[in-house]
Amino acid sequence: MSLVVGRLELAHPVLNASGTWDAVHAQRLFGEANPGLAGFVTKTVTPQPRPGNPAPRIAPALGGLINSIGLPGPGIDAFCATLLPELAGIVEGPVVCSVGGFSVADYVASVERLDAHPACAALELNVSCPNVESGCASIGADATETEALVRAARAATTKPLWVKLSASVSDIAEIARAAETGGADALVCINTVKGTAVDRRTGRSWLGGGGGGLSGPAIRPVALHAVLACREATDLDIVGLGGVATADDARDLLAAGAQAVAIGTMLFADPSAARRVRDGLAQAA
Amino acid sequence: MSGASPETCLGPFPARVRAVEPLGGLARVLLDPDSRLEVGAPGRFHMVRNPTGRDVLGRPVGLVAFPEGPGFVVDRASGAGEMAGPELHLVGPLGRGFDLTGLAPETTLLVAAGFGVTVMPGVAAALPGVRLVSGFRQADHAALLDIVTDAACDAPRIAPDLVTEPLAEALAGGGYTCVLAAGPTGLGRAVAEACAAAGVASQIALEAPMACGIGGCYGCAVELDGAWQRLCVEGPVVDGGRLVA
Repeated sequence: MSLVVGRLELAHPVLNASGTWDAVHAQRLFGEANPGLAGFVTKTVTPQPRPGNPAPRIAPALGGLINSIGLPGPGIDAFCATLLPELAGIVEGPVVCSVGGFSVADYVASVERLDAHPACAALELNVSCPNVESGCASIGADATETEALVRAARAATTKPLWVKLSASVSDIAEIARAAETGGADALVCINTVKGTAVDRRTGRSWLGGGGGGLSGPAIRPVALHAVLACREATDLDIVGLGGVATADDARDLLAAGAQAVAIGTMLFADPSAARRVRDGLAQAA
Repeated sequence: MSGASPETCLGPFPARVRAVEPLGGLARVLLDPDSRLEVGAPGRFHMVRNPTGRDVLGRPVGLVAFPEGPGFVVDRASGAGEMAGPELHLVGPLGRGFDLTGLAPETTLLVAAGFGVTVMPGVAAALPGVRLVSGFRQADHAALLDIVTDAACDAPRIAPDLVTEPLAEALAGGGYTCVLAAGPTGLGRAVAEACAAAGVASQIALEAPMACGIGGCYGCAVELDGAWQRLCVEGPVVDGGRLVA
């Protein structure tokens, strides 16, 4: 089942979605850092340390979950010095580093650091996180900004460069074409879909960070539409994700045009989900 | 690859639901005692999910070693139907439990509110005769005290009365060197602050919404040491000093 996706060689087509699995903690709990995964996509790293959004950060939703986590993390310095080397020592397969920021300069600074880091096999530009106030999703909602960002990142690295898109945009195909023109090697479709939960007493969002993103099987049809649209709009490889719970869900995304799939919310529900999906795909092959 | 021994196996492990029984306004879910279940140290938790149920995600529960076998307690309205089985999947035991090393029942006080009481049967089994003070928002939830068979339970406080009232009286009376508490974050902070003021050690089992229980989702953030941290990794039992600003 080995394959190459966006210039990155993988043993099989199943990855995790960024921000849905802690490989270090999993190693401690289960004795395996990334069971069933062909590699490991890190939580999005930002230039500076971030505390994340205040609680509550999650709310249940029919068919999934709404989250407003807010990209908590150690910042690029500690990530490169401590976490990334540790991940390289425990993860099976390549480490894909997810990068977030609030300006082109933010992204480029982190991309340069990761380009020079031997433990980073590929980069995923997160231009689609709905849970931070600026940058990220606002860049990914504009084709011109997306192309400029990808072009700048492309100039800063020779490593495989993936771009993670949001379906909460007016035309994902336009954004996909912009990423391709800017020099991306692959698209990752899709991040969570904008959503929230409401506090009836106040009429405001119940989530501490305000806005949120819906994930899980509820967004599976949205992900399929996005993959089809990006497949038709570009020649780029695609990592499809959005509510993958079974091997059949993965087959749908692959049939729609993805070369690989990623699992997110179902890893919360079932830590063996990646293994199940990987083995299910292998049986059909 | 790291050579450290894993704390638990990957799971999830199936467990057949033997019965769902009323427990006051709550429900007790009894699991097949032949299933591969380890209740775990008091304060640790499991993520439990019905693979054929409505909910995509599991929920954190504290397993209880009932006389009839392992099980847990859920809200009858929101959880009993979802947890009726026929088969549940469990991952655990997870997280950090209470450190009972060196504690004696005579000098330890248990404080619990609402579902926090479900943590206490294992604690009381290790410290038989220990005193438990408790509080509930609803009177019909006080039936939870029936499962803490090894503790000496004070009459429960029902809202608007607060469990912090008997706690304050107990601390003022002296004689306690450690308080073990379980309940919502607000109660946890109140207990930690009262104990800090009295110079008494405390360990607090906190509650937070959890999507995964294994560190992946970052959804269970609580303020510890003045920063947002994951309760499933840092706790759910934390030293009370980490809650005091």
